[in-house]
Amino acid sequence: MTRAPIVTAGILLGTGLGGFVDGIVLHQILQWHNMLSSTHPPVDLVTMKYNMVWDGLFHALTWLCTVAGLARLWKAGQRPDVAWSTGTLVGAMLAGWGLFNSIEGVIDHQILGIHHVHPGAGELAWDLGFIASGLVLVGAGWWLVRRAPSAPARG
Amino acid sequence: MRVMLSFVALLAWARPALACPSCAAGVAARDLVFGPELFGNALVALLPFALIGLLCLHLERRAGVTS
Repeated sequence: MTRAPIVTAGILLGTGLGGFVDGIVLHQILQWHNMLSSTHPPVDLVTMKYNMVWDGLFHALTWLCTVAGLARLWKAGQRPDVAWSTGTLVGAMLAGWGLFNSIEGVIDHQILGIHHVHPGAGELAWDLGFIASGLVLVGAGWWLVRRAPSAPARG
Repeated sequence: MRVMLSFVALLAWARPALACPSCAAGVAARDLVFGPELFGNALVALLPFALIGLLCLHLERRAGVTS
């Protein structure tokens, strides 16, 4: 029995859905930042629209990632050698969300500086907190996957 | 690289639809999108997803699972 297909499906789903949380909550509802708001601050209509295009493209990628995760999950369901468990799927999804926060946080916020979580006072604390939240999610997800059964219970 | 080039090609194909033709700000924003930062921005947007996708491939290969 193998859990790898469930794990990869969960990671992809978690990455996509976690990306949606970032895009919908932080970019759109709270409007703390946009994809390129540090290099092109959205202070006029042109720069707002410029950021909106790239936010939309980012959302397109999170949507594709979510679809890829669903496709992997469907294929996993067709295999008789895959061990299904809620803990494995949920844990992998948490890990995927955490990986997105960590990787995007390091690359986009720290290395490239194209945007920050909450620009202004305490900017670094917010950025580091975002990365830390990703690491916590990865840890929690990994713990859930580890403790989940690796083979279906036999009755 | 192929994925990024496909992404940019798709964007270029969609260019005529990317701005309301009567909106000067939309046209200006579209021209900014297709400026010198296009490839860099595309790479940045794709990079986290590409890295996580590679991780998933590695996990499946290590488990001996073929798709």
